Amino acid sequence: MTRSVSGARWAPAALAGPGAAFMILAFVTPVVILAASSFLDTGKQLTLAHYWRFFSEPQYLVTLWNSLRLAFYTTLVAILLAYPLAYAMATLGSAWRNTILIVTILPLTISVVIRSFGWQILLRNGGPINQSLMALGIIDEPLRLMFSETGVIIGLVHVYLPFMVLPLASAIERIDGRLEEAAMMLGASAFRRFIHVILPLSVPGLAAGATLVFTASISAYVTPALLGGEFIQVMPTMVAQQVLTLMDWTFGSAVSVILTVVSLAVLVVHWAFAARFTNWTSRAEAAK
Amino acid sequence: MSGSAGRLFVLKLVVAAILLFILSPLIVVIISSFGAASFLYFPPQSYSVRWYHEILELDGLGEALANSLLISGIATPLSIVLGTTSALAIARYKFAGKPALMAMLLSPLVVPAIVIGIAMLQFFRSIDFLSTLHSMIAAHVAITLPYMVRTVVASLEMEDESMLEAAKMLGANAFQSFAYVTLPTIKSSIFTGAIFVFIISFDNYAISMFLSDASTTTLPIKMLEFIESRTDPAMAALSSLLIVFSVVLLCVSTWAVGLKRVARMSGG
Repeated sequence: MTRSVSGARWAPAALAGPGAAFMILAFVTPVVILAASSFLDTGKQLTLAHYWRFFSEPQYLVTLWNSLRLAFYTTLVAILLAYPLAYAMATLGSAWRNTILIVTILPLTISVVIRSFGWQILLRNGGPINQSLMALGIIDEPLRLMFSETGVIIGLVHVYLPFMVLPLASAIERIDGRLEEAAMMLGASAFRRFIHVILPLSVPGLAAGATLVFTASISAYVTPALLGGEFIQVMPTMVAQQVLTLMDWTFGSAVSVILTVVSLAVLVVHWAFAARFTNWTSRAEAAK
Repeated sequence: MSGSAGRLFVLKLVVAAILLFILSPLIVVIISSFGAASFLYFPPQSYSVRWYHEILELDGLGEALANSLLISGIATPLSIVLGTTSALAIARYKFAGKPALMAMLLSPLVVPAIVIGIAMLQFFRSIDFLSTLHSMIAAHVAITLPYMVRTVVASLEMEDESMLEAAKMLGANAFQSFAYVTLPTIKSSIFTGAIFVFIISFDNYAISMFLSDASTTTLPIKMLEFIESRTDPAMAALSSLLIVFSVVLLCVSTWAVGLKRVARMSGG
């Protein structure tokens, strides 16, 4: 794809220059300064004290654990909901496919403030979910859905489900339909066809989607703040609290760095596995 | 094969339930916006459109909307220009530091929004660039640029190189071949990219929250303030209007470039 257009040495610099200069000024510099300030004490001396403080206080470790746990559950639920959607998109024909696609994409274009507002109405004590469960006699008193872990997970799944559905659907669509037919003719049940054909062949899409959902939900600020309130402290809400309420910028910066590193680590693991998987499949292709 | 028909029915039922889950928060907001009572009930006991009139009277809402339109209206074309030129450099040329450039342009996607927000607050405050719409516009360009770059690079990679060769042989200069060959190929990606950039900017809360003050409040920030302070359906009415606006934008972009492209744009 890449080729050099004759003699135009200056062209890439002229084209990339403005964007690069802008990003260095408006994005890279602020982030680097923030990261650097997490290693400084009040006298501008190098120190690891902020990191030491984070990792020695159980209260902060609980926050990190909350973030990891919520991101894990969100990813798990997103996978469970995305498989039927993605499978239906690949098998039920174009009317279903387009409907699923539009409904999946639509919420992405609507502010997370509005979506959380909708969930607040649905999840509150006198809300429709609690009222219908009580009317059906399933529960005697309202479940605590707002300001609870369940509420935050529901909200996060709603926000990030599209990131799971879209890569998974494109992976499942690429699976050769004859493989499933062959398994069916050999007498495999729907469950076994899913476990032995669809699931293993959709792993690349699953991994890509799971990585996106996990890193996005561990970084999410608005949904935990609106649906969890003060009750569910996660890393992003802790950053906001340290900086905006407690005015502890250096510790807030250290927490920011830890959050960014955790989320990047997940991405790096995914890239490493994705590269290995691509090598493996291209070798398999070559061997054919 | 009644077993297979039954399984198909179960699959459709499960899919319908999940789609209902996705739409439910939007549906309840729209239905509650028509409640007549001055406390938001779902479902409402009696219906009225009065809240659609009352949002016009709310203090500061018009200014917040004007700020949002101004910020997104300026950030979007800036993001289009910077994104397209950077994408051209990446897709067309070999040069030292290309991976670094690519990584830098896409990095706002991997740094948590809250971290970007406080980093910019700290930096812009230290260089006295805060409390203006300029800092907000700069922030919105930075966080939307990756979407623009990614979309345009993807469509440039599909460009027919022989067309460019032909244009060159016919004596077209760089600007002519851009205007007559490249632009027609990438204009629909630029269009979808621009719609998404506008939406991402217009809906942004996490980063605007840090950079705004009383005079630069954006619509999402003002709405959240009202959601937290009011118990009536006024914000449901405003939210419903914005939901309708999003549906219209989604229809327009689907009509313009096809559903597949719109999906790829949002696929993360």
